Amino acid sequence: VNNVVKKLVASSTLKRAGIVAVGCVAVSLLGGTSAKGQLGIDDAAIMTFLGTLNSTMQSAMAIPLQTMQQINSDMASFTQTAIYPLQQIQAAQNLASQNLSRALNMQGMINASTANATLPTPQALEATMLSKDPNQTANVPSLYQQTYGTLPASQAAPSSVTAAVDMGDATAMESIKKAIALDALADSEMQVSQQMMNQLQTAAPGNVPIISAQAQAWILQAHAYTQSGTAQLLRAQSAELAYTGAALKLHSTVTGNAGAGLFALPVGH
Amino acid sequence: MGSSISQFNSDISAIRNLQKEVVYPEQDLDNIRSNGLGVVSSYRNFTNSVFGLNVSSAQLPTGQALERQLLSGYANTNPTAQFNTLFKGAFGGLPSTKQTTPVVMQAIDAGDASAQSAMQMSVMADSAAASSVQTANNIETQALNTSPGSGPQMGAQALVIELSSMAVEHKLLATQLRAEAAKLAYNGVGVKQGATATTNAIQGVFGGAK
Repeated sequence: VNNVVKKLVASSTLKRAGIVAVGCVAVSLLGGTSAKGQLGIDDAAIMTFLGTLNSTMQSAMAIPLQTMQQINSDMASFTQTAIYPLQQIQAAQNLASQNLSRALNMQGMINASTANATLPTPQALEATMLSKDPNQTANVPSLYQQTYGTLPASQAAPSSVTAAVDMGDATAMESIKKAIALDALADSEMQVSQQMMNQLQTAAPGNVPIISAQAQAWILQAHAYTQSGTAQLLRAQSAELAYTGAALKLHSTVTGNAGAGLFALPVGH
Repeated sequence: MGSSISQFNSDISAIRNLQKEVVYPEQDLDNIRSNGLGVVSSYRNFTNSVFGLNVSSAQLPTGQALERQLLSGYANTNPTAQFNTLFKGAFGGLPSTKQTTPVVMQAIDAGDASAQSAMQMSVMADSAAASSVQTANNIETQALNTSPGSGPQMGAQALVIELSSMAVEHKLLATQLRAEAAKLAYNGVGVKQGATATTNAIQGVFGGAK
């Protein structure tokens, strides 16, 4: 309504009407000769003019303004009762409170300890693996070697075997480090999701799309982390496959050498 | 002036009609709600029953006991209290120091720990999944009863829950990676032990011949 009033004030038509009204009053004051009052003003002319002005205002402004008020009232009612009823806004905010509570329970559950190692060295490795602390990835190689042993010496195994073990162990350690990183990222995602749900408990409907946009951006990031983790999983699975191949190759070499050795023996002497 | 106000009224009236008849037509809203409720009544019971399908398959008592724990959900399963005993019942305990070398014992301990951790995480993942399904059902129900202006609230909540759900997936992926690492490490230990045994044997043979 304020805007409407501002528009009317700014309207050139209204300004012209004002000028005409002031002009009429001035003419009647200066030009009139009959029935002058104490101040020399023609009262009858003024009264006639005011009557005409009032009638014009009634027909030209009051009725359209009344229509305007009805339309505005209708729009306000539609917006308040059909599009944004307060009860529905509050119901949506209450659901956010329930969802936040559920999310907190889920976080508590998913972060329950799953440590199971019983010997000291595997326990140390397991504690690092489950630490969710990216700073601890530096400890993985030493703890891994203490648990699973170091590479065989060059005289203890063929170089192809040593190379396969090195690659297999490296992929295993990469996987452990990536697991620590993913755990840390997952914690961040849970915290951010709870912050957003917390905001949704009180957010105004008009501002909700901003939270949606932020959530979508985080989901996009989360997809990237999934792809990165899946890439590491592929490397681990391919290394396992390669181990099987390496074992078959070694077996073939040993069998071939043994066969060659047997047939090279001086038979029949 | 009168014509200006009439024009203004005409414009406002057009906006009102646009809102009521084009952007938020009541009939369309009713149709959407009706279709949504149709989807709920057609699929919700079916998907919930498929989701809750019993997949237990073990035949022997020890396997059945562990399987029961694995498939019982977090509410009925403390991840650490009984699990170790049930796991040993199904897969055996650690060999003694007389039976194997320290490195093999450590590898088995780490491998078993990783396997148990993955099993426990699977129990928690089942519960997280059940919780997500329940939340999704609640949001869907509320979305079909809310006003168009509050619809985006439901959408935002679904997105936020999706982020939380992806966090659980990352935890599972991390567990999967640890299990794969343990498998690779097992392979490595096998080869290292083979190499050590071979070296010892060779040393034994040639050492004995000296």
